[in-house]
Amino acid sequence: MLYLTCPNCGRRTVEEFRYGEIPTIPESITDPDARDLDRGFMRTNPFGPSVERWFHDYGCRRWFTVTRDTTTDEVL
Amino acid sequence: MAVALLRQGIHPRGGGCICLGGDCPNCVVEVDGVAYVRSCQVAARPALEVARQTDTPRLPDESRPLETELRTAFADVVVVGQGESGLAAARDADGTVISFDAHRGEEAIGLYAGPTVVAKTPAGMVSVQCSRVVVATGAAEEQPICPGSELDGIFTKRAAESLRAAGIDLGDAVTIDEQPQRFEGSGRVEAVVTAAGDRIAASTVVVDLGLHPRSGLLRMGQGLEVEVVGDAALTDSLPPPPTEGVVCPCSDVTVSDLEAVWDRGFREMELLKRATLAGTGTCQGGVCLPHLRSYLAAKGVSTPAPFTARPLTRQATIGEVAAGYDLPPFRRTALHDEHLRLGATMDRFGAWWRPWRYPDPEAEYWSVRERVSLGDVSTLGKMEISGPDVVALLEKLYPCRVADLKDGQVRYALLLDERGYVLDDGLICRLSEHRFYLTFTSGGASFAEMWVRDWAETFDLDVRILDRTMSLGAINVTGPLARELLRRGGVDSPPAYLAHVDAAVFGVECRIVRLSFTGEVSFELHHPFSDSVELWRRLEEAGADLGSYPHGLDALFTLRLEKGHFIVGMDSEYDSTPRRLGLEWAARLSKPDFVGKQALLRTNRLPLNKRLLGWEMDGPAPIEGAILWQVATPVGQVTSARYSPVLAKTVMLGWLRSDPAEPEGISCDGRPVRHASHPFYDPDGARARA
Amino acid sequence: MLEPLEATRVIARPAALDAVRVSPGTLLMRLALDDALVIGGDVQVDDPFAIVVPDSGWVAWRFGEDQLREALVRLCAFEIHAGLNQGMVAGLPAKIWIDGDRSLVIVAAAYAAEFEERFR
Repeated sequence: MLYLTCPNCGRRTVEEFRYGEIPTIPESITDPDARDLDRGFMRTNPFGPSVERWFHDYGCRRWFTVTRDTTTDEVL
Repeated sequence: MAVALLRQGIHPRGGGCICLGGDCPNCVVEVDGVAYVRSCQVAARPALEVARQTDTPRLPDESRPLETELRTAFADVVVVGQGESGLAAARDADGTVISFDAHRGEEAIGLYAGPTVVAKTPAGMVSVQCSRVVVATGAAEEQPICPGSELDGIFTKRAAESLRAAGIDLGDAVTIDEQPQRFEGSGRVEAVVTAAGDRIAASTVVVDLGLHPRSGLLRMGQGLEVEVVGDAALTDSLPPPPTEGVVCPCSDVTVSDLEAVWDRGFREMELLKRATLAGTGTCQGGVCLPHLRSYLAAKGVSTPAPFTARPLTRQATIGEVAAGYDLPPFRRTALHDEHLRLGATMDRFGAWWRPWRYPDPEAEYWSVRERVSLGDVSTLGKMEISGPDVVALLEKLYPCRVADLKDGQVRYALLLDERGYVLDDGLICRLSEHRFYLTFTSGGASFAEMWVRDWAETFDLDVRILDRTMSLGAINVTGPLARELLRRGGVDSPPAYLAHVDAAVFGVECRIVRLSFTGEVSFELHHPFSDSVELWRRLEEAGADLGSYPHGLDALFTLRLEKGHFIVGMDSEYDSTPRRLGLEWAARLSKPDFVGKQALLRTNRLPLNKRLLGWEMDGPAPIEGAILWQVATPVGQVTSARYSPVLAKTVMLGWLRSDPAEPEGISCDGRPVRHASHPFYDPDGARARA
Repeated sequence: MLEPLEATRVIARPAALDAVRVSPGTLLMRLALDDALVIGGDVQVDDPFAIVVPDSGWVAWRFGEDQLREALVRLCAFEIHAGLNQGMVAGLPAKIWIDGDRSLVIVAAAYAAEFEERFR
């Protein structure tokens, strides 16, 4: 069971939340045009720590940001 | 129960070494229709119906309630096992403690991140969220692995002690303390041949072969706050490698089966398990795990680690597994009971129950086209938004212009994602300089709220956002006589097309929004949830002599299709750009910026490879999803198709995928289909604007 | 037991909401930093952009605290504390207000029928 802690409502099971992807643009891409393209169409699938937005659907209905290790589901 | 059966001279499974510790599959039976029950873990009661376990267990009798309750608990420490070390751990732990005792029928069956311990108990399922888990599950006795191990009359040392304590005479029982070469007998054991080769005649053999820690939960909890105490913490010494006989009695895997998969190259623990299914049965490796490790060690694999353990450690019924889970809930509008009173058939659409037919879609349709009709549009997404930066935010969010809207004006708008794909559509109503009212589709409302909040935060804009989807009702008054019905409700100056006003209708404060989805004059009356029933009834009464009849979704789908209005998610696909939908006008690329603009600039340079087009054909409508053919080539599919009563032909929306220069020679359902411009009905919109 | 709530919803700057004082007998539930549900009283908030609207979209059930806590053990997977708790109860989004004999469960009116069936 993955638990997330909503800063407003507290610790809840992941069922209460909705995942909001944050397209993370690699810093190596410096051309603004290419960055736009990457942001729009490329999706990273990070192995390890990932900065993510989560929406507390069943609670306060607000967004928050966490860093989650995708290999262990641990919230860092 | 196992003891009671053995007392009657019945081996629960027909044969196999009995441990009475819950570690092996050799006492499983069906109890009251529930399969794979360890009889050693169930108290015997009068009138229990016990049957031999078969390979194809019956499905439970439907009259038996499956439902099991789940209770949630919280504790600092969970102790699994209440032997000596478990009791001590519970006594010495700091904070609140919850213990599970297998002897009371409380079995921890899963350990999850959190940590969370899930247990089945006589009172139902329990889920405990805790900070630390102590595993005090003790050790299991080693089982004999050799030919004849499937015979009746073999018991572990502890089982023999329990049986003797229960007053059962084990007669001439012989005890051995090394893995034997074989048991001999037919049905019941008659002799045992020891490791040293001595043949000892006996009708009961007690095996005392050593202990192996019960490590299932421990292995499941890797990376979690789990501590192990007592015999569960024993160093696991390997038995002598098995040479012949059944290694895994659950899946009936023999040493020669292991040899066969070894020869095929499955030469490590996880592969051996997957290739033979050893360890995947009722006892989850309780019998075979030490022997599998020993087998591999003898083959030269350096001390193989036990295979991964995953929930569940114990068999569970469907009811136990499903405990605590709920079906997705469906919302009801304030008018739900009004629809039922009017004879509507209700159906689930998105998150809501909605009226489908009242029950005559033809009458509902003509009521809209010729007179006046009420529709429940309370399910629409509704949002109020204000703040110093509200215009800046909406200009970013919507691909159309927002700043030039005057107070009281309404604009239809698409919502795009960053890829320029259409997410949703709806209305923008300007209430005042810094205050707007937005509507979204019924299906898109929840996502729209997430979307607006996300971007407001991303751009760090100062706005106040309130989702009003479930706190406001909305009734669509539509048809050529809609204005007359509003006049009867006290509205003398209703809003012009694409405008809104706040006014009382039959005494109910409403925000009256004028657009048109049906193609006729339409006023959406947005009002407090608690006033919905009153407003609906007053409109119904006042409209009776105008021929008013409510319309459900079935009629609405025909009405909107005649106007060529697409429905997000029904006609559009996940990658529908305004250009593909034929709605290029809805994205103003001259705006400095909006979400999706960069993607549109790019994708607009690509060839247009699919388009949503209007189509018409004679005869009845084909099913939605029907293929559009160009001779023998599929070139697209129908997304919406209805027979139009007013046009006396079938009208459709559908995707044309490949890009024939002219969409000619198209057929569907074996009949010719003509490309037709839409709206099919009242193309100038004169009726909606009237 | 079920009662429709006549409430006021206030969306305002967090600091402005922090400063709000309500009269005794009025219940103010802070749903989020910028969001309050006010039951049984008026509210004044110092924010020209605030959204202050009557909100009839909620229903409530009143319980004694002990009775409510016992029921929730079966219906929700999070720990309940005094004051406002928001989360999934019986598979539905709900708000639980724990305050002795004045304890409440609040759900959107659109879920009232479904919740009543599940709560039992």
